[in-house]
Amino acid sequence: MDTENILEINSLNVYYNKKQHVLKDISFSMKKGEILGLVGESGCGKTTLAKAVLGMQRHYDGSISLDCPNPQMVFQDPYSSLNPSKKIGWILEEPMRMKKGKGRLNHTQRQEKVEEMLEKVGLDARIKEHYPSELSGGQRQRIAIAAALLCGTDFLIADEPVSALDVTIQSQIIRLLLKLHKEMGLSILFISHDLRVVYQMCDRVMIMRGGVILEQGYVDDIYKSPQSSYTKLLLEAANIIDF
Amino acid sequence: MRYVLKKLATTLITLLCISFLVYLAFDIIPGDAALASLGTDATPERIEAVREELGLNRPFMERYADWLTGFVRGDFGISYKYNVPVSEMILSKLPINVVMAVTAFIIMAGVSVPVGIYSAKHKGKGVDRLIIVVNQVMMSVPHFFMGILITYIFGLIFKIFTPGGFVSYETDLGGFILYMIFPCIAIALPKIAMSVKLLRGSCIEEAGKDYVRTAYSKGNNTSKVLYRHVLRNAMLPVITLWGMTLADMIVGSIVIEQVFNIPGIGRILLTSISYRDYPVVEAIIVLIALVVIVTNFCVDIIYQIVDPRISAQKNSLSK
Repeated sequence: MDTENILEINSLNVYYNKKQHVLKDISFSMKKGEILGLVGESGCGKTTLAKAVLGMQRHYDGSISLDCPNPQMVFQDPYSSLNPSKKIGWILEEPMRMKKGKGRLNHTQRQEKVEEMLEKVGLDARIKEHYPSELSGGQRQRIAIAAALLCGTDFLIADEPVSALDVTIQSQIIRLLLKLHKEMGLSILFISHDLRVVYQMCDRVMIMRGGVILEQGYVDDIYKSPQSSYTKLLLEAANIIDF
Repeated sequence: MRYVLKKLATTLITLLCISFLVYLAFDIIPGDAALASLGTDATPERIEAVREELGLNRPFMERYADWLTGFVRGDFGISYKYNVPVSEMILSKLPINVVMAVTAFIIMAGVSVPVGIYSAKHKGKGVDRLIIVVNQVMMSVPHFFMGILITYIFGLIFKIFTPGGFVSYETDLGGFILYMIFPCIAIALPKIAMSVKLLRGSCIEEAGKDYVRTAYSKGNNTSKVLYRHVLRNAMLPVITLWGMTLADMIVGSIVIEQVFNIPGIGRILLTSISYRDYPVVEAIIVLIALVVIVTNFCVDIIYQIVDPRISAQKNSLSK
């Protein structure tokens, strides 16, 4: 694996129930500190690919090399991504509480870390006393991002993190992800079906359809001169053919 | 606190309505205690005299108000048939039914939670399929028939207890416990099946949610995810079922008494119905309603403690 890369996938095939071929011959790599967009229609295999990267797929062949011990994921639905019966403070503290031996933080240190992270994602520290059901969608998504970062990860899979939010909140979350990417050198695999959001967020983009990557490259190149007819169709549908 | 007071007020109003409807129903049903005690051959004058004596000729609301104030004070009236205070009759038998229902409930909770979790954890495997099949069978068998089967298997074949040989707790506590285990199991088994099915489904549903994937990605193993994250959320529908089940068990214990020949409240109820001994029947029915309503009240309170979303919703609604 190239030391500059955080993720390398070669000839990946994923199957459901050993029969249904979901991902076909997927190969790509991702540089450290890069934001890679993954675009495609619903059911094309975006989330399956994300799960494969996280090691959540049983039936696959090919190779997945990830230079990150604890990859984290931010989900589309901010309502189901946080345990409803736990307070925000408990949720955010959990990975630190689980740490054993040297380097384990005491309660006060953990609280300080949580407050620090809440500030980083633009939330008031008092929010840790609340339950997820008492927060808005945008606040919950910020908490989900904070929870992922408190695991100490430098690789994040954002699976349609803004598609369940309204437009103003969407732009806040995108700005937050870009800020964290800049500050922490975070590598992000950004899954979306919104080409405008991908353009704002990503360095490179991959277009996926039917379990196959149709094309990949720098965002500007793909948006200006798409090679596949499907990409052209997507850009036309999004009304950004002359971006 | 406001919510608890509100719920308490609703509970009291519901109880009042039920007591009124029960009293009204027994007043409307043709035939009364005077007729029942004298028989159809009695002269109208004699029937009228007994009615006067029992106070049945007074206006309905006056009788209801008297009965209600007595009920609140714990005075349920005098049995027409046995001429003893109803409260004494019920109190002497109540411990048997309470022991039956509570023991059956403990058995149900103690068995269904680990089995439900185990089944969910091993979803699709042989053991899980076996549990599903056994559940299906147990759910389709009513508890009185389960009682007959248990009597046959453990009483007649294995001779662990003597069918019909009820031993009072006042004479032999050990014998009482040994005898009561079997009716309690008969009551609990169908409820265990329902509870396991619900908990299994609920655990599997919760396990598919994103917060569970997040919990795994934080480094939790399956057991930690199950007990720290999934179980509390999966228990919510089960708590509702348990609330209804506890009430059902009390009613079920009345039926199962007959199968195991236990001298509990059920026997008094059936005898009183056949003799039109209304003070006894009314008191037992209202007491059962009281248990059902109080159980539901407790479930609502527990639900609010277990699921913070409910209090959050209430707060946002009250704002």
